Amino acid sequence: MGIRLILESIRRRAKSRAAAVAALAFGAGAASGLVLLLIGVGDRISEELRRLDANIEIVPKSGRLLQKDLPLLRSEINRWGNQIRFLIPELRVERAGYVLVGRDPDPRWKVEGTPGVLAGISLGLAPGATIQAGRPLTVTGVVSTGGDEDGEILLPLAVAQDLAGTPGELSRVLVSAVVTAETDEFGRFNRKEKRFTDAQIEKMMCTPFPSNVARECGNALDADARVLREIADHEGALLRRIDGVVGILAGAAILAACLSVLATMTASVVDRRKEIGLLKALGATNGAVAALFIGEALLLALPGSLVGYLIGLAAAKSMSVALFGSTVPGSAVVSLVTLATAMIITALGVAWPLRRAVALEPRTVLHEA
Amino acid sequence: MLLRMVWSSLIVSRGRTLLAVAAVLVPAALVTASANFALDAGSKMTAELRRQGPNVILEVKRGVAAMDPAELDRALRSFPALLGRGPVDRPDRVELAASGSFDQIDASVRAINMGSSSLDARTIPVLAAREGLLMGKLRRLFELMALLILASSGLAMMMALTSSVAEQRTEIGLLKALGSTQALVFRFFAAQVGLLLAAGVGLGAVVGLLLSNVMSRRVFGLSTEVRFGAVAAAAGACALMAFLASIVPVRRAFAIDPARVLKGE
Repeated sequence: MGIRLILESIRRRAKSRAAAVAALAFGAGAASGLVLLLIGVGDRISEELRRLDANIEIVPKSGRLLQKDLPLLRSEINRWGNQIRFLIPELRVERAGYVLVGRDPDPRWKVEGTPGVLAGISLGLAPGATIQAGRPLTVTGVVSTGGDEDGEILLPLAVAQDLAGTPGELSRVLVSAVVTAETDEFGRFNRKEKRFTDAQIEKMMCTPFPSNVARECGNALDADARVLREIADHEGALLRRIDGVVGILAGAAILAACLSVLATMTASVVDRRKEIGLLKALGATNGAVAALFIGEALLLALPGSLVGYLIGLAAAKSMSVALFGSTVPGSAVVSLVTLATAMIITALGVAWPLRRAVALEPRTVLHEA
Repeated sequence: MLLRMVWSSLIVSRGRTLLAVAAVLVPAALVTASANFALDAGSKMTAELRRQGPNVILEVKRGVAAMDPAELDRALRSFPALLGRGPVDRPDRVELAASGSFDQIDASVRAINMGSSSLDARTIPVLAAREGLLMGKLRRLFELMALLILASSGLAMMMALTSSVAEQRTEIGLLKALGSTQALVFRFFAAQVGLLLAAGVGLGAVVGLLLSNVMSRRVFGLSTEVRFGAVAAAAGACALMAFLASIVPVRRAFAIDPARVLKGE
């Protein structure tokens, strides 16, 4: 009987019920999509920022660092081989007062002119100028980085090796690897400040902390490696803040979505005071009326929030591709939380105006309108 | 007469009035808080990025012996604000952490290069690229969230105003039955809704700023700066949304047939 009443009520007011479902779907979609998009947003932004940064430097121990050995870094000798994003082999030569560095330029450097032999901006050489560095080199462009490179000459690696007379040899390799930020616990472990159990040590060694990755990379080439910290260290604090800021705004958006659902459900009850009066006049108890209205609302909330979640997921996926270049997986937890929240908000939105509505005398309501 | 009508209508049903004000206030506060906080957070994070290292380098122009102190002074003053300056041990090079947008800094750098004979200014491309990437992504995230907050808040306001008007059907029917014109009903409503909106949006802006301050303290440990542009834009957007939201309920009120309403149909 209750079910039939509910279904009939939905059928009779199909248009306004559809509007309520749409409002629910919108609210649930906005909230769940945002949560899906923002899970781990700080890490994803930091990953994006680091993608172009080298974070490990490998220098020869005593022997020579050879270009032909570089594939070893990505082979199974190096347990962190899969963490490596890119390598920049480099050879540094000093000739006739110039520091010549053979390497590929960073895509973020500002280059004026054409690639080839790039003069650091502080040297004051214009494209077309010729320098004597063992043999004449024609400057093809000017590079500005804000770092040491501003006072150096950058040229293709092979040319530098040729100039130095050491084919295949490198003076250092810059590595960009995907790493996990070092924990305080790992710091204590590294400084040997306290005793750790074997299991803990095992865990420390099997996490791609920068110093672990650097050590293994160095071992693979039988060379010394160190972690380049500068940029990454500063960034940690900032990225934590990003998580905070984004989290707060997302909270506001979710709250707004809840409000819209709440207001929609409230409006749907206010319109129907007469029905409530009629039900009560026919002998329905307050509890029965409440069960009827809340049941109907929940019946709407179910499809509304599910459709909303699917819309939110699709939106989060496309936004994520646009922003970070990778998609996000769906999450069973988020879908369940969305469903539960939608149910609770809907029930609250109905229950609250209902309390006032059932308190009225049926006679008054039916008479007044 | 109109004012008295509006006033007594608002006072008589105090509960409903308060509810309607709250229905406008809460979304307006959310919108204001988010707008102010997002803008403030953006500039706070930019400042933090800038403090990590210099973003502008001033050097002695090639072929010139030393920097002209007057020119250096003028160059330093051409930036909107400086957060840091170094290194102290090099007379030929000054590294600056300048705050301001890319365009502002670029304009300052160009002006220095054009206007001075002993100085060369340039920005640091790697830092600029990092910052551009980071802030670009954050801006798009903020915009997305602002859009969602605005849309949800608009929906909430519309629904709240709809139920507020629905409860006044008898009053409107009575007004019409007593011979008031459509224009009078319209003015009555416009004044009533206008008052509600003004109160809701105004209070919302205040509450929103307080909220923004709390958020800023939590995340940055610093109190928020009031961004009047953001507050004005948020209040404007809320007012516009509330206006749009009130169209449907007011049109409904217009359509009320006094005879039917008063008879209780």
